[in-house]
Order: sequence, then structure tokens, then C-alpha cells
Amino acid sequence: MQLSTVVNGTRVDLDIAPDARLIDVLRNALSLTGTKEGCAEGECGACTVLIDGVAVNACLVLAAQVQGKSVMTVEGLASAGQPNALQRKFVELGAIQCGFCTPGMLMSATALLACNSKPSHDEIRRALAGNLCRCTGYAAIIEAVAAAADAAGSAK
Amino acid sequence: MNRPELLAPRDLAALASALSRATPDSRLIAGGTDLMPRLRTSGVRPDLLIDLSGLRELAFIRRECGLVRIGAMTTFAQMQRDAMLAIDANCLSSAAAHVGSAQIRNAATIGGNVANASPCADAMPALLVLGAEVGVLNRTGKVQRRALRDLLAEAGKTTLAADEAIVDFSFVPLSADHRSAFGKVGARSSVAVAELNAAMIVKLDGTRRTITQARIAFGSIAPTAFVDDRVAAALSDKPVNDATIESFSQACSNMVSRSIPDRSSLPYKRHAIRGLAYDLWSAIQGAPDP
Repeated sequence: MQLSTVVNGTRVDLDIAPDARLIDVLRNALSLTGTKEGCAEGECGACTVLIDGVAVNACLVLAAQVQGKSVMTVEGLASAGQPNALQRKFVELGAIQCGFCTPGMLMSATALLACNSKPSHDEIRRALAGNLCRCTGYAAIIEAVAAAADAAGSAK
Repeated sequence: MNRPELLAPRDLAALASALSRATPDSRLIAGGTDLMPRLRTSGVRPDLLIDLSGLRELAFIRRECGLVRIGAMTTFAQMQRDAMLAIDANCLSSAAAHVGSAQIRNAATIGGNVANASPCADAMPALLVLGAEVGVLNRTGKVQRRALRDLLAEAGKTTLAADEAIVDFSFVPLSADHRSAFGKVGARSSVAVAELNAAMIVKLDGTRRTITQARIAFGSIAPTAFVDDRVAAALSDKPVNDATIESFSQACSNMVSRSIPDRSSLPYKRHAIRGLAYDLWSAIQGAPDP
């Protein structure tokens, strides 16, 4: 079947299987391998992407369901090859270890910051509750999101 | 491997016509959070997938003719955010907030939660205790209303026919003398599948010191969620005090012993539910005033 959608701001027309998962279309057909597959059942959040700005697990979405919608993956965060402010805070504060959960963490945090520019630590924890990290212990990740929010606030 | 055919109806007429092609092997897909993993792992091979995500007209929460109506494609995130729902049916609003993670709540729908009929579905005890009715569309395009309890057949199975789909839920909003709450026991405080879940409504007298009526429903114990009148009797016409809550917690534990006498989880669940009873009670006390 024919899929027309927008991925990271670019119109995409593809022929897909009717039961294809969004994560497979992103990774295999579009080579957007930043979106990671961890558990494949919606537990780990490594495959988190934004559909029309809302964070979902790409492993649980039928690719056909993004027909006419806008998908944003971790590749959509950088501009002109430069990481955005949130990504830079992850790097600066060591909120990355093996890196496997990082794309999902970034996308969940992006969704949070889009509707809550000054989240409390508790709100950050809740927004990231569906993203598992086996390396960092989460503290640095939460600090990075809070620091990105602070930096955006003081830049205004 | 045979690929399923996919139909994506955009309105109820198109859904009815899609349903007329459905067989017992066909599947409706709403948020996908239950069905998608199963399409890969447990040998579910539908001949036809009917994708409901384009039915925007089924994503709503409204007050209509004295009833609360919630469209089947309403997500748990929408329910969790709805300020009126927290007042009209705190138990359902709270159940929505306890489902999975932000990503799951953004995708998973109330219609899918009920149609999937998991014994631990979080919306189920809340809808049961509210006495919800379900609007069911069939291939002729007609919507019938049925009591939710009549939809429950067994674990993972409803009484819905292959050519039927849930379109909405309705129930009477709670009034100012009611309080309601939802509680859940899982392996961790959030993003957990319920090991026990329950929803409760109590009606208080004018002094707020006596419970005049109580209604409670449990999930994750039997193959389907159920309303339990014996447990509710431990609260009805009782004063609001510690002794009442303790006997309520004991009644919950007795109910577990009656319900699953042979299950290996009995020793755990009959203790765990006592804590859930206390959680429910403190949630009731913190619940907003309808």
C-alpha cells in the first residue's frame, strides 16, 4: 500500500506492507536508525518518536497509521548537522553512557518541553517513566532535561 | 506469509461497511499497544485489519443528556487531562493516569482497552463500577447500547461479534455526595501491568461521617473484572472510621480467598489487596468534590 507522510519535515511517499510497523519503516526503508528497537512491546521507550508532536512507541504503531501525519525522529532534532540545546545538555552533563536509550529519552523530553517549558524534577521523571536506561541511573538524564529547560528559559 | 488486507475507515458508515467484510480472524486496531506485539509474536495472523485511528469523530469526552459520553478512540492521555472527567468520574480519570507510560497513554484507547479484554485492563473496574453502557456498531450501521458487564466473556475475549465495534461508553456522572477512586498494585509504581486493580465509589451522608452506599469492582483476580457486592457491604451504612476501613480491607482479602482458592498467587494477593484497600480509602479521601 502507498504511504504518504512527513518525516522530520520532509514529505515521504513509500510503498509499505499493510501490517508494517512504523519502527521498521523508519529504520529499514528510510535508514533512520537513530530510533532503536529494545523490547518491541512498548516497555522500554527506546523507539519513542513524535507523531504530530505526541510521544509514542514506534514499535506499537502501524506504519499505515501515520498516513497524512507528521513524524519526528531523533534525526530531526539537529539542524545543519549541529545538535540542538537538549542534545548538547545530554552531552555536557554525561547523560549518555551506551547511548541506546538516548534517542528515546530525547524524544520523550522533547515532547515534555514542548508543552511544559519549566517542568519540575517530578514532572520530568513522570514524562520519562516509559524510557528505560540500564547504564546511567537516570539522575544525569533528569538533570540534563532540567538544564535544557533552564537554559531555554534564561535565553528568553 | 500472507499479508492482511488493511481498511482505514474515516467515518462510521465506512466502518460499518468494513465490518461487513470482517471474519472471526479479522482484527480491529485502535492504539495498537496490545495488538502490535501480538501480530509479531503470538501467531495472530489476521485476514483483515481495520484501522480505527482515522475515526476522529470517536475521540471525545462530552456531557450529553445528563450522561458522560466517551468515544472509543479517546486515549488515556486525553482522559487523564480532562478536568471535567476528574470531577464526574475520578475513578476513571485516575485509572487512565495509571495506565502504562506517557507513550502508551498517548496511543492506547479506552475502546481498545475494553475490546482487548485483558483481566488486568485498568479502565475495566472503573467503567464497571460506574455502571457504564457501551455503544456497539454493527455492519448495518446501527448502534446498540449494552451493559459493559454483558460484554465480558473470558480473559481476552468479549461477547462482541466479528462484525461489531465499540463506538462509545456512557455513564451517569457522580454527584456531589459521591467520592470515587482507583487503585492498583503492580511490580513498580508506574509503567506496570496490574497485579491487582480496583475502582470504588462511595456515597456519603450530609455530615460526611457515614457511608450510605458503596460499590466496588476488581480486576486482575478473575478472568474478567467484576463488581463485588459482599465487599461493598463492608462499607455500606458504616461510619467513616478506622474500624470500618479495617473490616473493608479484611472483606477484600476474604474476597480474594473466595475467588482464587487454587491459584498460586493467592497467598500474595490476599495480603496485597489489604494494602490496596487502604490505598483506595486514602484516594477516596483525597478525591475531588463532584
